[in-house]
Formats: sequence, C-alpha cells, structure tokens
Amino acid sequence: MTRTTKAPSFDDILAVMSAASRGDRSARVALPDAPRPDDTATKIALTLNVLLDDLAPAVTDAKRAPAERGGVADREAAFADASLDLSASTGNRGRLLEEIACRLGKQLAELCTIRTVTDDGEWVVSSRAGYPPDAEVVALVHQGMLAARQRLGERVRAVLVSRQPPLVAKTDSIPERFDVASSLTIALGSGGKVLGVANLLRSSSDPAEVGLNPVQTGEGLLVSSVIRDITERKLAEEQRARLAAIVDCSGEAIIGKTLDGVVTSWNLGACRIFGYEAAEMVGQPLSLLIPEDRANEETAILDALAKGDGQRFDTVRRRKDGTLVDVSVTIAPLRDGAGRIVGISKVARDITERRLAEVALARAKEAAEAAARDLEAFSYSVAHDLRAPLRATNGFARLVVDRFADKLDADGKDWLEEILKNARKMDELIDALLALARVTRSELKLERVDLSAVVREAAARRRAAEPERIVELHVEDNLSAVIDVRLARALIENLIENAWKFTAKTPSPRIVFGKQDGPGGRAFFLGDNGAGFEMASVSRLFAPFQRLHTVSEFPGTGIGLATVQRIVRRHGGRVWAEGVPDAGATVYFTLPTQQLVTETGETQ
Amino acid sequence: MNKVILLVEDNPSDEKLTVLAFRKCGVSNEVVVVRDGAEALDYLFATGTHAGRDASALPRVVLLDLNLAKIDGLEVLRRIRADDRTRHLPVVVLTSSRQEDDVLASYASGANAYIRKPVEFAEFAEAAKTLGLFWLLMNEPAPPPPAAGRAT
Repeated sequence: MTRTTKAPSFDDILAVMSAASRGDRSARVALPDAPRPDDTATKIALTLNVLLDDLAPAVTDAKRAPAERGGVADREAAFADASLDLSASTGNRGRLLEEIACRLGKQLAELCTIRTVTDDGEWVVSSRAGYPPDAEVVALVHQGMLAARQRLGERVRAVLVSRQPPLVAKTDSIPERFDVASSLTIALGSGGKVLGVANLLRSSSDPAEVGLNPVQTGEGLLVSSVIRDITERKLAEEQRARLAAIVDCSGEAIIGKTLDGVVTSWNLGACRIFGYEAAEMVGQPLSLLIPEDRANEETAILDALAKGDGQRFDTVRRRKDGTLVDVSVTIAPLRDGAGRIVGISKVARDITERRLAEVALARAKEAAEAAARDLEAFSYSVAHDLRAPLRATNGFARLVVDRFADKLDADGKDWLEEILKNARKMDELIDALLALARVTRSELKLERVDLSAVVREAAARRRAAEPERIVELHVEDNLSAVIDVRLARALIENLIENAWKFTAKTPSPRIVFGKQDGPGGRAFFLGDNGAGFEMASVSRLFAPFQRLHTVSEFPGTGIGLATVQRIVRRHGGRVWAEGVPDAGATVYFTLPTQQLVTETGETQ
Repeated sequence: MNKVILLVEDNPSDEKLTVLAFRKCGVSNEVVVVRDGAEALDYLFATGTHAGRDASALPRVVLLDLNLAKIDGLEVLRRIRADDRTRHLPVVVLTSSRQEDDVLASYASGANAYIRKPVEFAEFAEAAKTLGLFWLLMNEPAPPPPAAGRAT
C-alpha cells in the first residue's frame, strides 16, 4: 500500500472506487503514515481500504508483506479513534454517514444502507452510509475469513463479524428478497459499543450469498456473516426450475402427498387426468380420488410406504366429474437428507386407451381361438363323419361286385366300379383337405432341415411306389433351410409328386432341385421337363381344387400346390411357378426364416 | 371258451361291414355290438341294460371306435384300464381317424392296437382277417383276475 504524508482527497477515493467497480480490487487509497482521524476523507479512505481488503482474494492476503500487516494494526487503532470521534460528534453524524453511504453505494455497491441502534436497543435505518468496524471486529473478520475458506473453499469472498444477534434478523432475508448477489455487512462501533451496521448489497454477475452464523464466545454472542459464491446454487435453482417445468408439462399426474395422504403438490398432468385444479387439491386428502369400493386401497398403500416400499399397480380412480379413469400408479417414499420418509410421491398415468386396446386384443384373441376351435371341430368332423358314409358306399358296392358278379351284366359291373372309384377319389380328397387344414393349424417348430435329403427321400418313396418308371433326379447337395420339419416333408412330397406325375408321358423324365440366389434372397426350386402349363393360367395354379389338366390326363386332387403355398406362406416365404406347355414346370419358393437364423448364427 | 368280440360302433353301416368283413375271412366268433360308450361299459361291468350278465365273462377283444355318443372312446378306454377286472382286456381302437393326436391319445390311454378303418372294403376285410387271426387265435389272454366276493 502506498504511503504519503498528505491526507487523501475525495478524488483519490473516487479513483480507487472506480477501479474497484471495474473489478480491480488491488487499488487502495494512499494514506499518510499518521492518518488524522478527524479528516472525513481519511475516514472514508480507511473504510474503503478495509472493504477492499475484505473483498480481495485470499492470495492477495497471503502475499501481503509483513510490514503492511503492521499497517493494518495502525489502521485498526485509527478506526477506534475515528469511531470515538464519530460517536462524539453527533451533530454532524447524519450528514457524514449519508455522504459515505452515497459514495460507497454509487461506486462499490448498488445499495448501501446504514442502520443504527438506539440506546434502548431498537435498530433503525438511519442513513445510507458506511463506517469502519472496530479493531476487534476486524480481527474476527480475518479469522472468520480463513476458517470459512477452509470450510467452504475459494467461493468465500468475505467474512464479517458483528456482536449483535439482531444483525441476523435484519440482514438474513435481504439478499434473497431483493435478488441481491452479494452483501457486505460491517458493524459500526466505538469503544466496544455497537452503534450500527453498514450493509453493502450488489447484484453482480458473480453471484454470492450471505450466511450468518451466531458464534457463542467468552465475550458473548458474535455473529459472523459469510459471503459465498452461489453460482452453483443458482445453477441448481435453474435446474430445479427446469425440472418443475418438466413436471408440469408431463402428461402424467405427478402428485406429492404427506404420509397421512394429504396432497402437497399437484401438477398440470394431474389436473388433466383428474379434473381438479392444484388449488382445489393441495391440502386435501388424496383419498378424494378413490372410488368407494376401493377405499381400503389407500390404507394399504400408506402402510406399505411407511415401511419404505415403493409400489406400482394398475387401478381405478374417480375424476372430479365423477367418471372413473383407469390409471397405472407408481408410488415411492420421499426421504429427507437423513433418509427419513417425509412424504410420498405418486405418478399416475391414464391407461384408458391401453385398457381398451387390451380388451379389444383379448376379444380378438378369443375370436381367433374360437375360429381355430371351429376349424378343429370341422376337420375332425370331416375326418370321421364324411368317411363313414364313404366306407359304406365303397364297402357295399364291393360286396355286391364280389357276391353278385355272376348276376350282373357288363354295364352293371362298370357302374359299380364307377361307384368304387369315386368313393376312393373322395377318400383322397378328404385326406388332402385334412393335410391342408393341418398346414394352417399346426404350430411351427423351426429347425434347420436338409432339404436336399428330404427331396431324395420323397423321390425314393415315389420310385418304390412306381418301380417301373425311370426318372432322372438331380439334387444339389446340402441345401438346407429353417423350417418345420413335418411341413418341409409335406412341401417337398407335394412338389415331387407333381413333378413325378406330370413327367409320366415324357420320354426322358428329369427332375431337378436346386437354389437360385438373387437380390431378394435365396430361392429354392424344383423343376421338371414334363407337361408344363400355360403361363396365362399361372394364377390358378396355387388355388385349391384348381386343376390345369383333366383328371383323365393326370390324376390328382388339385390341392397339392395349394398346400405348398400355405406351407411357404406360413414360413413367411413366397412361392411362384414358371411353365412352358410340353416342356416342363418349375416351382420356386423362398423361406425367409433362413435369414433369421443366419443373422443370429445358430439354429434353434 | 368264450370268444366273443365286443364291437363298440355307433354307425350301423360300419357295424354291418365289420361283421361282413369278419365273416368273409372266416372269423365266425360271436360279435356283440354296443352302440355307445355308456353301453360298452354297461356290457363289460354288467350294469344298466346289461345287468345280470356274468361280468367275469370278458370278451376276447374289444373293437373300440373313438367317436362315440354319451361317453367317448378314449374315456371308455381309460375306465377299462382303471378297473382291475378289465385292466388287461385287449382293446383295439378301430376308427376313421388317422390324426396323430388320436393315435397318441389312444396309446396313452392304454390301447393295445390302433387300426384305421380303410375306405376300400378289400383292405378292410384284410385288416379284419389279420385282426381276428391275431387277437382270437395267436394272442394269449391274461388270466382272469381273482374276482372279489367269489368263493375260492
């Protein structure tokens, strides 16, 4: 600190104040070695220097030379004298304080208030001014500063100590109420007697807060005020505000209640779902929402929560208009810092739509199951009841042929043979229909199946049935697919039977099974060089009971390819065919379940 | 020795065909026909319309249709197997159904054999012949159980 023999002028003081208000806290007013306490400018300069010392960062404190610390002691002595003089010169005091307050307030803070205490202990705002604290208070300020920094870290800007508890009451709420970022409170005293207090308040861009801590000492109660950076708290407040906004925007009802079930908070979502405004519900028991037949629900909830258990359940609640609403509720205990349960949070979601969807789904499922049962019963009926008359028709016709052959003429025998043949035909149709129904009905059990092997087995069965026919068979090896093995056999059996049948009139019959990889994935095909078909009629190929050839040309039920199509479609695949009359037909099919397994790398 | 065949069959045409098939292949045993599951049990246990019959006189083989009125074939089969008197009685399921479910359920309920009635009479006659040959001639029936209440 600069020393001079001259008393400081108001211009010197103003220069330092300007520097300080620009953020330069290192400037100090130059003071004479022996300051004259009766000089007004000197008094203000002393106060200002102390204020700046208090506001300066700790590092400045530590770097200060020991000689300058001695200067602090000098000043402290001067403060005491100044206080004494000030208290003595009551006549000028008001004007003096006002002047100081004005200048301090203008340059260093946005608001400076001076409160004085009357002889009977009443605190009054006497002026807007500042006054240097007594030596004891200054010493406490420095001690407190160090202690506070240790406790609170670098965010501490200043610590002030006063002797009087009323200080707490007077300054406690000011920073909050006026959105003041930082506050400096200086006790004004003389000869151990507190005369008043100067309060400097700022709303700077570096937020701070004032904490006031009463400390019991041997000399009585002292109050230290800690000025602390509250940037983090401000951020937390912003976050809290954001969270509050989120809570309000939420479509869910978010409700706070006490352990007794009394509503403490009620968001907009709760208004929307239940129809009550926050003002109507806060302070009311939440049981207002509970329908009579569920009255004991709330008791059970509160009991479980008292034990600390959160809960989630679906239930029904009553809206303000009396209608009921399906809600999904999550309830959790709210705890204080010590872990004690102090309240209950309840989040309720309107699940009316979900409920309706569930009901619709259940109905659809029921209908589908009923349809499946009907089909089951129908198939069973076909299997048993349609066959019995057929068996009688065939059986008795056969008995007539056997026993009365000598009594029948050629026509009679021929007609009976027609009856027998048609009965057999119908038996085959019933079998085919049942097989088709089974394809639609049975549950898929997917596994990797070697289709090449299935083709060879099916062909071997055809050969065994018709050993006189010589058919050339080309099967690409190791073509496998993920498919229900029973349906795979039915699929291949039908294709092989078709190929076998339609090459019956071909000179050198040939059947080929292979694969074709394209952009749409792998397609398998089974082709022959048989009768083929006109592409114009390809659309009828896969329809049940549709035949592209007369029965006399090629026998069959007309259900084989319909069955093939159903099997492929049940596996999510596609089936199509290409044909040229008298040159052959090829049936292609895809089994996308293939990719399903390739992706996961394993068969089921 | 009693060599009655018990035919549980609700369809008169099937009944006639079955009897004709047996006769055609030379099986001349008495065929007792009952029309539904309840009557089948009445016959076997000598109750109801068959009260007074000697219950210890069991048929050599029971030909059982599955699709029966009152008590269905599978239930008849289960009750036959549940009773000590009929536990070892040979029961051949003779039905139109070729559904796997029915075949499995029949064996699970204790059927000794499962024969699907072929539509073609010639095949049916062949099946009847084999059936008669096996169950009436070749098969050794289980000895009758010691009947309760009968003096020894």
